Amino acid sequence: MKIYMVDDDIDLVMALTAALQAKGYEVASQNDEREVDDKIRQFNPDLIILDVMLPEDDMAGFKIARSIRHHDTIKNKPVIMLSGINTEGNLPGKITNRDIDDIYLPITRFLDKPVDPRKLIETIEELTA
Amino acid sequence: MEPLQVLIVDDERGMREGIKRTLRGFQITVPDIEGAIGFELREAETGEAAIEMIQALPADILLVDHKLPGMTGLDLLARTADEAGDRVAIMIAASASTDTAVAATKQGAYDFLPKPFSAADLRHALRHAATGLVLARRARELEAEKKQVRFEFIRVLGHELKAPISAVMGYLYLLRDRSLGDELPAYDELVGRSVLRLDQMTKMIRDLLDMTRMESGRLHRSLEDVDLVGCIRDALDVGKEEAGRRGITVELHAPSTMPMRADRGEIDMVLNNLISNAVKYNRDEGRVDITVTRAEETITLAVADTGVGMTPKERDRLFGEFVRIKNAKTRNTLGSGLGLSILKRVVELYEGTITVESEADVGSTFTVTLKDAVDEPVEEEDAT
Repeated sequence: MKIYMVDDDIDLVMALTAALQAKGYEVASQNDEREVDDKIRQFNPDLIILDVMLPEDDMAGFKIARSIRHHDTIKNKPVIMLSGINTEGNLPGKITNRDIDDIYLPITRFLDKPVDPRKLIETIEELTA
Repeated sequence: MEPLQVLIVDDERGMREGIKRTLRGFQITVPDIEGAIGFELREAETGEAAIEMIQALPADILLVDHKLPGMTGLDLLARTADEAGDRVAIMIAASASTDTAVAATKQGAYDFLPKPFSAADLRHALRHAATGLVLARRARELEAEKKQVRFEFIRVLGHELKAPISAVMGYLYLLRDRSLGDELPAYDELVGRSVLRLDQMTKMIRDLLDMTRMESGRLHRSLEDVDLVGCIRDALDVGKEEAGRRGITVELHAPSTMPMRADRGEIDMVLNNLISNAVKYNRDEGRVDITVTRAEETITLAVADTGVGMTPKERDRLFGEFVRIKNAKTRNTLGSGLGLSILKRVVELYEGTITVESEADVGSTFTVTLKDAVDEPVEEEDAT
């Protein structure tokens, strides 16, 4: 099982990578948005984990998610968004506005930071079952 | 600025025409508000007509005759109270009794214009009403902007404080689950990183408190004669260790002493910030050159490094709060993102400026100018 992670916090990436590797996942990651679309496609992950804010853009995560939905090879892969702004449980179920739908739809599941790897792994197992 | 909507309500056609003639092309200027303020005039013959017009487009200023057929000017104010917003009303009355005046004031009338009035009286009343209205609106705008800035600051602060917590908790979860095995040394790196992140968080909170104290003007200043060059040498002692470890040469180009009037704590804050940035964002085996000169009143301090530098876009964002230039070259460099915004505030206390020249991958030079701090006059105790 291959997981690709994009988050600008090197420590968080290091910690989650170690936790996932301990469970036998193959993990690749990057800390910025550079060539992110190509890198994800090349890695061909089974699941993608994204942060909302990246150095160049406060909404980068959503943009990456949208472009994932346009790659033939990975467009149906689950996307987990790790967010620091309390979105868990609020989204996307309660969203009805069309424009907002357009932003949030590419995200399969939101998890709030800090995230317990047990919960993350549980979510990954559920989404890739 | 948009012209203010004035509605003239009077059943006498001659009066309406007279008012319009007097106010045609009339403009006012208000202190602190850019541009002249003009007026757009509409007129109504009856209270009913006025109500309809107000419902279609609210008036900023009402010029109302008290005695209207069908209803009084007071009735009109009362019946359009829902659309009133922050409008002001000037009541025109032939014989304003105290009772009418009190009642009108209760309905939000702003001013009285007793008949007969001159063109100057009318313009004066309108100027007075409009100035009050425009200034009140500006004050509300500023208040809203202030709230927005505050909200944005707290939002970013929340994010910046949550990031290290998420990182450290990430490491603690690894420890809890023994994800790296049962051997303790396997966890050394993550413990080290956790300490670093929490150190950083502590520094951010300290910087934040400094900044807040400075903003509220409560930073206690104790001015004394200090030797700037001596202060720099002390600051270099503090930064020496990291510079030495990374083979960075630090050189000071300065006269042997440079006396100035200053608060030692503030000067240390400026120097520590500049020097630690020059080392932190430098390359290994790089250089830091510190130059101090004095020309009459102005001291110029330049700190040049041979570090990662910045692109013009990065440089423009530099003095904002919580701005850390994050890229591959700075990913292992931790900062609170508050240092430079504090520095800017301190430098302002010395009527100084801070500028930066920078080129990506070549280095940055921060130049600060300072003047001697001026002792606050001692406030005399009021003997009465």
